[in-house]
Amino acid sequence: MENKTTKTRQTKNIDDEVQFHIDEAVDTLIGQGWTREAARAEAERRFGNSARYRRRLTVMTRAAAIREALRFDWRNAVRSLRAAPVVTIAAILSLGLGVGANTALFSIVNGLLLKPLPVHEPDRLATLAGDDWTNPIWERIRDQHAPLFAGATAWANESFDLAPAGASEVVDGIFASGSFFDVLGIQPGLGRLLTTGDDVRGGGSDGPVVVISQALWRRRFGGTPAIVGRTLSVNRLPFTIVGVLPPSFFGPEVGRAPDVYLPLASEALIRGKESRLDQRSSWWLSLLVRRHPGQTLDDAAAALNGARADIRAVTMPSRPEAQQQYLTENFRLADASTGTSALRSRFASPLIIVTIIVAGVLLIACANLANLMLARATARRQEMSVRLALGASRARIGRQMLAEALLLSMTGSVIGLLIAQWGGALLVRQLGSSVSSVTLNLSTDWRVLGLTAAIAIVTTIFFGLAPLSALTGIEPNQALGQSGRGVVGDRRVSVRNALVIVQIALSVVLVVAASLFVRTFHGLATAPLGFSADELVIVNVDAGRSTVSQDGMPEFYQRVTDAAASAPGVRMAASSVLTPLSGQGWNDPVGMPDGSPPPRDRMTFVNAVGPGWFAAYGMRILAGRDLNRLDAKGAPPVVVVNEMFVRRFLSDTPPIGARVTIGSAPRAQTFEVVGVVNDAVYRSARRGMVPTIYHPLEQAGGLGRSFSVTLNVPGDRRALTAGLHEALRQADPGLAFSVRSYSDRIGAAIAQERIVAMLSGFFGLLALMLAGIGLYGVTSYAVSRRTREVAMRMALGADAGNVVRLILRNVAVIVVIGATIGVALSMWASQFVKALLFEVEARDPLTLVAAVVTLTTVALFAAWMPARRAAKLDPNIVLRQ
Amino acid sequence: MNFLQGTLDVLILTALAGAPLHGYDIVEWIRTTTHGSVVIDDGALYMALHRMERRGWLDAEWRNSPKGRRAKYYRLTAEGRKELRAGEKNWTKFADAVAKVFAARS
Repeated sequence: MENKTTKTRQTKNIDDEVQFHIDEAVDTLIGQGWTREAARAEAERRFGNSARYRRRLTVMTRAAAIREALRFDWRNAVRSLRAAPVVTIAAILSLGLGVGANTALFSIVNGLLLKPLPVHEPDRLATLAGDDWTNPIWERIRDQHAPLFAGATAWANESFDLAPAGASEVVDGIFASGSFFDVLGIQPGLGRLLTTGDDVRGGGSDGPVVVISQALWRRRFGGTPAIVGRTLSVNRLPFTIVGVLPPSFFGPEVGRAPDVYLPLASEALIRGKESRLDQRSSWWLSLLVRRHPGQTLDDAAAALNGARADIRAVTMPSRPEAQQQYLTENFRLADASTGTSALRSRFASPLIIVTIIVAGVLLIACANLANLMLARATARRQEMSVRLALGASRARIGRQMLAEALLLSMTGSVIGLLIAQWGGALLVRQLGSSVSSVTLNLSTDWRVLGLTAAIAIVTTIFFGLAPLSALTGIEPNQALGQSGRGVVGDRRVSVRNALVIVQIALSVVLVVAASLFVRTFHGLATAPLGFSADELVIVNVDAGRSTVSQDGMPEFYQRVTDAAASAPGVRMAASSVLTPLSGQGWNDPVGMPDGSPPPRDRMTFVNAVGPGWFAAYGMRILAGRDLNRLDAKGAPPVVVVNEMFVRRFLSDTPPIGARVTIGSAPRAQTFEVVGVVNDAVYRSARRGMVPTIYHPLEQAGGLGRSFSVTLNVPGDRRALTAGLHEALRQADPGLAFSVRSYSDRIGAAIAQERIVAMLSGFFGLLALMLAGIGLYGVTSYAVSRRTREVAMRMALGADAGNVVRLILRNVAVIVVIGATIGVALSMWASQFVKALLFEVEARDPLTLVAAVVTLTTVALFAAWMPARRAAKLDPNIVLRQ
Repeated sequence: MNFLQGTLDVLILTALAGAPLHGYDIVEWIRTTTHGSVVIDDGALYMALHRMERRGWLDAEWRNSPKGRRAKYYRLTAEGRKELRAGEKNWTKFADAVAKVFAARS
């Protein structure tokens, strides 16, 4: 045991040893005839610089002593932790889960939100904010206003089919303007990248070209060096590969890794007559600019707005009254150094919320640990007092507590890092819908490591010091004199109680949050869709290479539908332009009954469906009739509407036979309503039922080359895809199609809510568990503190029940205070999550009450166990101590 | 390993093969036995003694010297005796090797 006396003794020993040596030498010299003074000087000289050796010896011995003491501390820490296995495991698990969960989530937040793009000088990049832009606007900026910036580019996400024939092989890709890679500052991995020379209609000097990703190069071409010049079939058209991207560039968006990059001008090749390049009403491009060095974001925006009228004039809205406003609408530039990301905007706020939740759990875990350590320290009070009396310094004992705390937090952190790796990978897999896999660069970089280390260090210091405060209140004599009971200051007791109150409050908030999110998810998952999705399979068809004229489209649709219906297991089949929950939308304004121009929000959603569509979807005609083959091209224009449409637009006239005007000014048409169908969701379950009208396919002009066939397949689906393949190939070999069941699509649509529900449910349970552990600890401590008092009461006639009630009453006070604070916190915090909820109030009283009841039950049970132990004490044994 | 340090250790261990000695005695014994050719640096001696004590090769106790002064006496442990034997063997091997080198030159 090392303390000040030991140190001084060591130094004294070294001094004595050296001094003895010198004295002996002096004697010898005197014996040889030297005088005493000369002898002493000579002896010191011969020894060398004795002071220096003394110092070195001291340092060496001291270092050895410290190493020895540390080893001693370490072994002691291990031993004492193993002596209380339950507490130790609980502490390590709490810390591990807290740190692990935080790191996993933070890695994702990091990858999604904070990591800058792997491009040249990303801080100079800016996107043109707002939704999307038309190609005419882009071309205007490119041709007339290029000097405003150091570079500008336009791009759009697109899916491409790389299969030369037969079933589609769909990959993510990008249409990019010629300046794309230049603006981003990317160097090719192999060959060359796109240039402005490629971005001309009809192809540049190399014809239609494409740049592919590293992943595609390895996956499809085996990473062969002879890749430049090879042909790649894109949507059944031949493109020449001119280069491969470097491995460090995954794309302009976080979470998406496109495999092919085509010049923007080749969109005309791909989509043929449906090309959006010259369409002034097709808003589909993202614009990205690189500011001049030194040009601020505001400067750049101002410069762009200077040319605003000229740019916007290229794409004017049809309504004159809107034109003026449109021309003066400002452009906004937003920083794009971290890339744009649909994934980010979709998941950002729930991720942040869940991160806050996890931080709360970590706080609870820390409070737990502090309490546990305090409880253990107080239980070892007697041992500590004895050691103090025997000469151990407070610093020494403090060091040992610190060693235990360090050991705990290190082990907890290591476990936490393992959980982070495993949990993070699991979470990313869950984040991806089954349509596009999510690729996030999750490598733990310094920020994640820094956060984890900081958490570990802070928790160490926090509960390393906490037990010390228990000690400084003890005077050794006092402790011994009162036979080990020790005096405890009131101030310290209330600190522990405050910790428990904080724990309970946070746990209430977490449990409330968890139940809200779980109920949201459950609500969405079981929300009525208006149609029976279980038996439905969607086939998205693209006419691809087949030659069909615009007039022949309806017949083409029908032919494909009939072919699909012949596949094994298909009971019904019907085609439509859109399908519910596809994420796509088509809406049109609804004319006013008196013919005046309708306000902007007077819209209905629209679909065009083939015969038998409602039947295939299991939707009911509530009034009038279904659409049928008589509603052909030359026949009177008719529509079927849903209940919501009737409620909104036809509330004061009988719906059947009513005439409605749909569409905007020059193209508006009047239709007769022939049927009313039940409500169904359109775009998402969250937005619920919206007014919808259904055109018969034959009467809907401008049918596109891609459409959907919905199959009703009640039974076994195993033979379906092969059968479909065969049937469709016979119908038209140039088709491209992809198959997906409705349940998959629905699952993907609520992936976000599922994750949030999963995570918050898990953390709510964790919070409950931790709160239980915490209360167990504090009650044990309270019990141990008052053993004599309890024993005396029992000796004086109180029975076990009284004792238990007494202890529980104190605990109940703490729990009630904590729960009240928790409820108040929940109600305040509810405003932030309102947008995420579905069909459940953020301040739903049922949820709050249930959370409080759950927590109280857990708390009381956790406190009841040590209370019961106290009641079982034999008063004689205790009093005799 | 540090050849000089190793040699010093072996010398000290040899000195302590018999009765326990204190630091000054050790220096004198080596000086006398080598007829004055080897005089150990005092500072290095005490560093070596403390190091070997920490390694468990030596045991130490404070006794009164014949003159009545308080001195620290060192003696070999079982571990120390093993080290001594190993050290002797190594030194002999080394000396043979050096002799061979000289023989090759002449």
